[in-house]
Amino acid sequence: MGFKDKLKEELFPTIWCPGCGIGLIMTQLSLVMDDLGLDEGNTVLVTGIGCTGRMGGYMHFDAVYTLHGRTLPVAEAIKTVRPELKVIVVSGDGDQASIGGNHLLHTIRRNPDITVLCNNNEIYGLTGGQAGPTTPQGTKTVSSPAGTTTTPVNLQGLVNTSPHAFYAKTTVYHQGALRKAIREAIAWPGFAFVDITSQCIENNGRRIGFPSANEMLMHYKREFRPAPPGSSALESHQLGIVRGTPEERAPAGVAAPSGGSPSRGEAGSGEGEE
Amino acid sequence: MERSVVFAGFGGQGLLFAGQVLAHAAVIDELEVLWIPSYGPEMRGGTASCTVIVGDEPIGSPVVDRVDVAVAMNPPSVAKFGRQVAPGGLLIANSSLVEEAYGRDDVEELQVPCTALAREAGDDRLVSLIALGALIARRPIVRPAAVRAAIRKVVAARQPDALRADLAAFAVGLRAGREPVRGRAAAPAPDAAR
Amino acid sequence: MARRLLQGNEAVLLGALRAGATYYAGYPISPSTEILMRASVHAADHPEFRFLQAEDEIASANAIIGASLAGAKSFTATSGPGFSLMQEAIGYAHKVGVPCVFVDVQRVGPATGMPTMPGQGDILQSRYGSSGDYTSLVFYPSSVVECYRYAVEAFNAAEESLSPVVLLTDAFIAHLNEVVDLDAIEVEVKERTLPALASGQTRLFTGVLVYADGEPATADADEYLRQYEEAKARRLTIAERYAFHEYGWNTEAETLLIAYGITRRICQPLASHFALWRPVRIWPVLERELREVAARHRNIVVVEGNDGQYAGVVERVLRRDVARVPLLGGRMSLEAVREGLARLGLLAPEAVGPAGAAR
Repeated sequence: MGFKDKLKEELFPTIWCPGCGIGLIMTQLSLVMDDLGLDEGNTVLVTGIGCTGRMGGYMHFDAVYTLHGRTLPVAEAIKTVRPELKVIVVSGDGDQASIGGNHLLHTIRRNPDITVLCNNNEIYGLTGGQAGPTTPQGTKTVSSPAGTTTTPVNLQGLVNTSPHAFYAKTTVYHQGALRKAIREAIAWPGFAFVDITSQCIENNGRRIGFPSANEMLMHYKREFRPAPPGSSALESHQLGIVRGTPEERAPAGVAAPSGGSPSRGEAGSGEGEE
Repeated sequence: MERSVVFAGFGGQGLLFAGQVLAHAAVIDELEVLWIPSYGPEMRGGTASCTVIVGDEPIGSPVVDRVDVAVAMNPPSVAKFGRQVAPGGLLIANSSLVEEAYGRDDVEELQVPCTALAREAGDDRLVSLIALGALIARRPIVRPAAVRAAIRKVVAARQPDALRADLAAFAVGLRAGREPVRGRAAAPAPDAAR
Repeated sequence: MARRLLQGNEAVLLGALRAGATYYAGYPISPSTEILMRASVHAADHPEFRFLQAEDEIASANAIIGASLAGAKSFTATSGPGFSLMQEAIGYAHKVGVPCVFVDVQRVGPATGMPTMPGQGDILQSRYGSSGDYTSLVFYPSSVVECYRYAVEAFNAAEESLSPVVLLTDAFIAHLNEVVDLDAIEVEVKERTLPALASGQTRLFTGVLVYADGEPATADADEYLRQYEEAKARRLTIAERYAFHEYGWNTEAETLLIAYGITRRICQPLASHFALWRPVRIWPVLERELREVAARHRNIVVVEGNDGQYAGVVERVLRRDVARVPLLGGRMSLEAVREGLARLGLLAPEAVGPAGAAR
């Protein structure tokens, strides 16, 4: 067995543009799934509309490719009916933070034991590069020619409205941190959200001045730093994990972590621990 | 034979409850019955009403544009439902709140000071059970014993403390229903034994 | 033998449970809310039955889709505005082939409209509310006992057709209480055939047109047609097993009334004057049955709680003029029906008078 067994390589090359960051997420997810023994008999993938949504079709799992923005109600219901399964959501920032924002707000509140991997490229890539809820203020896009005027949504702040949630911030450049975040998120007994900064060279990067995907990755390498140990929240461009307190009512089939639960305030650096 | 009753009044007078009790009593008496609360904007703060249709056969239409009995516990209800009583039917008006008789001479009009009697019995919300007692005294659609059993069934489940007061209110109503009536049509003899 | 008073909304819930439903998601909306409340009470006592009061109707609709794919018979209940919010998910369930049940307790619309007044304005929405082409199965009961019976049939039809099935009721039936003996009702329950998620396969359930291997077929008209025709044929074949309808009253009468749901009940006192045809299966339209019945009558009148939604369908099927008696604004009364029929010259004017007048 190896992580490649998780992938439908016969369907490669994927539909994603050359230089897209989504493949880097799929690789790390496959590696973690292989490590954790997740297979088509114990795990379901739920994806949403957006470039990321196609991931379900490239992996050897039952996958539900939902309507735009609707991953969370579908995933929560699957987990409710089949608590023994691992339910992993993979979708984009537009799906989670914009059209599915109300579901995100309330799924955080209900704290189901599901994992969300959010490919956050700060743009609507699939439709050609329109500004989204995560687009940094001032960014010129095909729908904001004079630069966006609004503050981006604060995903960390939103997720951490729940005292029980798990929030991790990483980038696709920091593969070790990404793998650790995915692994911990899947093991987390409750709602876990991994916010993954990822490059969209074709429909955003070049317009904002990056000549190539590699330059975007190098930018992440330069800009992002591990959060200092003990941080209760992550600053902009900090990598790490902010853990809530696992909820007492552990969903059926999921054991609470032993040896005491880390409370919010212990932000691990994440980088370089693999 | 189908007999239709409309209960109408202010929200809080227990009209839907009285209708529900009558419907359960009909089930206890092994009759067919249909009960429909009237929902509308007036439900929230204004007039409330419900319709009960009792019959020997399954009830066909749930809507009636004339009723055999109207139980009208406030002036707007008398105005609205007084005209809908079928000739030979019964109009029970709450004379504590409705001063004048409606004035139809082809129906039996029964004036019962339901609110005053309810206050005497200790709770304004007993108004409708008193009216139901008067109704059963004049029109024994179901047996009084079935009404008492229905009250026990409906109330005991929700508010066991209220049971005694509810049964007493029904008895007060039964007695009030045997009082002299206004109106021309001859009333059927009260038949408390049924 | 347990005769009891039962409310229409409660009967829908009990029918769903009888059919084996184990998942409910919903959002409170009059006049459907009793279904949600009763489902929550049932869930509290029955851990195998799962209940979600969702943040909105969009979440509710998508949650029952997820629950169904996970292996549960699932349903939601709503009213017009919520039903509109669910339409995209209904289209998704049609495309993917997800068995589940949507209950729409109709009120007067559009928009918030008259929230507690009965209407029948979602006849076309229940057929065409989502985008694109698909084949809907829709049932509409006329009584409390039928709410129970056709709730079971809605689940059965969903399982057999692998599609979302709509059970229409209305504010009137929903709050109607009638005497019912559930023990005396025999129903057959169709079991789940769609393998649940994570049963060892690697399927892709998607609203995108894809080939069997999951590759997008988004520019392939032939593949679209192949999948569309296959889905349509399956639903139409299954629908034949659910051809519920009623023909009766005075079948010698010149005029045939077509009425469904609560309207059929309201027309009951006119039984000696008219013939009645009532579709319980609203969609697909019972075209053959309708043509047979219509051929026996000179006049056809559709009495419905909307401005001619089903009447237009009847005209299309019969290719002849059909008269209409629309009952609008919640005015679901015998008086309104009589007035409408008198206006059409089909009921003597003396039969229409102030309430209480002799007829």
